[in-house]
Amino acid sequence: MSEELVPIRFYVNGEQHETQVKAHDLMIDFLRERLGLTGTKRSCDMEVCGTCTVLLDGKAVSSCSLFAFELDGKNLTTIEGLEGPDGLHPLQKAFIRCGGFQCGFCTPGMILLAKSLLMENPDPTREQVCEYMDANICRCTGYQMIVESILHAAKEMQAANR
Amino acid sequence: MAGAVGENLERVDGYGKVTGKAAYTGDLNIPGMIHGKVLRSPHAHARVSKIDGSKAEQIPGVMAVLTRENCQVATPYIGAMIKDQCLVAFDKVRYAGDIVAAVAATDENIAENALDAIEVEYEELPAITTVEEALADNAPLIHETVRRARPPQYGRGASYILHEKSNICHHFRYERGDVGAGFKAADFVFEDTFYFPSAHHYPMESNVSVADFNKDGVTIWASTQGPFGLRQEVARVFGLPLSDIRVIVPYVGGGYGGAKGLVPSIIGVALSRLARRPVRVNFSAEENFKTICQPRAKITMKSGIKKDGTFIARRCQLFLNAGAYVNSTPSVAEKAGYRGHGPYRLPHVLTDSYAVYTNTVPTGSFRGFGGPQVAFSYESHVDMIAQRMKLDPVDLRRKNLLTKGEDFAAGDTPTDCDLKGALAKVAEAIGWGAEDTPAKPGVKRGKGLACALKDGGGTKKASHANVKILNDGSLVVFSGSVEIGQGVQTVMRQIVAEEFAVPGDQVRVDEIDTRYTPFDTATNASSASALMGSAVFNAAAVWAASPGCAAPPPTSRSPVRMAAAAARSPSYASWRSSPTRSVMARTMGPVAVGRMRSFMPRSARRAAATRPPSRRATSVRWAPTSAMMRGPGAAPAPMAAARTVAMGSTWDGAKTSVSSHPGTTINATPQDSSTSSSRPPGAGFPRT
Repeated sequence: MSEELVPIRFYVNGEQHETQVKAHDLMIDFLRERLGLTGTKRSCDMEVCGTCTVLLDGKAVSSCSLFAFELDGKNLTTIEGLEGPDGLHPLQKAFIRCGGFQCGFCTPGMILLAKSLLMENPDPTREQVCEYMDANICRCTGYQMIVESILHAAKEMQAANR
Repeated sequence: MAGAVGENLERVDGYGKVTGKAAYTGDLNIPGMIHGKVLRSPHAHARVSKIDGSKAEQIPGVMAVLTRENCQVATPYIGAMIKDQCLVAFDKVRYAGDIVAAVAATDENIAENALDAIEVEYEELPAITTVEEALADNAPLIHETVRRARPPQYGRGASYILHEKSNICHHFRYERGDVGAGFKAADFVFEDTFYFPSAHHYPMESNVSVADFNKDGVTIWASTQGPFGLRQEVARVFGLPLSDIRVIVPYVGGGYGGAKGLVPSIIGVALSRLARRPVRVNFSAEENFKTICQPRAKITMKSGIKKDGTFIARRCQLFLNAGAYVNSTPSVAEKAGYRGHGPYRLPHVLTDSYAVYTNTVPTGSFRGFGGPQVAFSYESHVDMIAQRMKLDPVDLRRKNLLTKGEDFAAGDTPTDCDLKGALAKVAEAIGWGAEDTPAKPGVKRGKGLACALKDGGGTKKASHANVKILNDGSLVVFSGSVEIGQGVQTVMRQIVAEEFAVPGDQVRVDEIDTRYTPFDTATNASSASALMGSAVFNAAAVWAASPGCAAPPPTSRSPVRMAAAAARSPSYASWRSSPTRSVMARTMGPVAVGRMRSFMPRSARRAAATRPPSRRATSVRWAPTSAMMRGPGAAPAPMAAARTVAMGSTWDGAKTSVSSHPGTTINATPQDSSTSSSRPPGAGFPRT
């Protein structure tokens, strides 16, 4: 295994970082162990379940299947970056209000995937939500409450923008 | 009132879970922590003739290599009901994936690579993967010695049959009437066999634990539904007193009943003892599939029926493929067997339910304890009968379904739901009898319905809770019910907030730590709200009703009180009048009764309940009294220490299984149902 170090420069949740990573370091390990951002969860470890979803330049990706050096020059958002000075993001509020979680392990990935959806399509239909969220797995809720949460957040965000 | 039962209270765990701040076991980083990995057998059945970990020990970064050669324990055998699984292979491996050795190293990659340096020689043995092979004459024994638990104590009609020198590890029988006579009296007899596949419920969070073994004792942070059971297993295996073992449960990323946390914790403790460092064992998704699964089943149903569709007799034979190690599968066999004949009026029943060892992945009690396997079978069977007899499946069911108040099994709590009414509603909702318009041309849609009965879980379960009152009137609840996503923390908060008439945010539900949290059997069998809820309610209600407390006494209209009362069996009338005292006297002895007195002066209590939260900390002052002693000889607590300890309604009275009547004798031969029916329902329950 190569021990070669790669210099990287990137933003995480608006904060600039400059560091070196091993060429084979995975993004998820780098986030969880080096940056202490443990809100990003590992589950299947093979880009199937979506639990480790993060937003790389606004695009939802699986951090278990990317290298840490792929952060270079990018802007990363993790679940820790959603709560702003004004409080929780509307999606976070909606997940609490509509019961969009149970054990909570898939929740960070779900919320970030939903954020990616609402950036692409601020007013999705129920079918569009279901289709988009198909990428992530939840074993507790049966999904209905997650879909409700996203539809509710979309409505709230639209009302706020009006 | 905010926080009361019936209000839409924000979940206790909501903020942490939507912000990523909620800590799960895998998120912990204990100072000095290293990483454990296990070596798994490539063979389904083999004798381990030689194992040598010395080369692995030489690898830089490797802190410990655990094999049978250096595994010095009081007993290597673990398991929920039958202690049949070695923490690492001692003599044989019994499934492909069985744990042979383990390594702890400073880095996960080093640990993974070190596994390859462990030298193992196997002598392969014939492997048995199906129940048929396992039950064949002269089938090799998967376990030469079976470490059986005590024979279970069942109620009327149920019995346990022992098989020596066999791969059958558990045989449960339920019998009433005379099935032979029933089949003779029937106009038709139908027999069908069903196969139910194995499943893994895939909690998103893996099996994970962090163990720290040092001379002060053992601390384990584990993702588990049964912290106290885990503590017991660690004590037994390592020969330690319970007081030396501390199990802390961070948030659990899904459980679904699969004995999560046991194997990684035991391995972790053994590695930590060798390495003298805290060790994290975090299985991969693939390893979870190799750790435990829901048992496969082969189920044969034979029914005797009158011409008009009246069921008379049913014979059920259930074979559960229990895998190499059975965890709680014996109780799955019991529950499957007890529920096997379904929610129908059947005078003659004979059910045999077997858990059978094979060389496949260990099994356990995932979701429903055998209920899904048998419900799929008996409902498919009813549909097939209806088709053969050209009867409407809804009519056939309605003719035979139990009505509310009717016995499911003599001696058990009667059926407490309206199955016929519910079925009628379902039939109406799906437009039963009317042709469905195809969604797309060429697509034909069918309709079906089914109904199932589940006897309540949680019988013979003890749940204890403490409610601690701080001197500003806020409260802390200590309850062993694990937050596995079901929202139990919020339920407990609501119960206490309601009883003390305080806002929900004044009630904190403490993290589980077996050193401080009172004993609870486990978080399983859909029982936490009813059982732990009752314990928390009793703890709160005893306090609120005590002479020194100025809180409004709980009224009989209190929803919590009513729910708690409803959850109890009618045989507990005496509990309802003074529930905690009688229970306390029975379970905790006179010392505990002394603890129940309330200690907060009336004026302080009233002030605490009425002042806004921000002022409470400074405005409420009262002196501790000698009654605040936490126990004999203990120093007064610095804060208000009114500590009520109560044992809850520990038997789930709403729906109770026959397998759980304490005090009844083991029935070697099932009793005649005609004699048992003279006893009132619930007669087998203990009253005090």
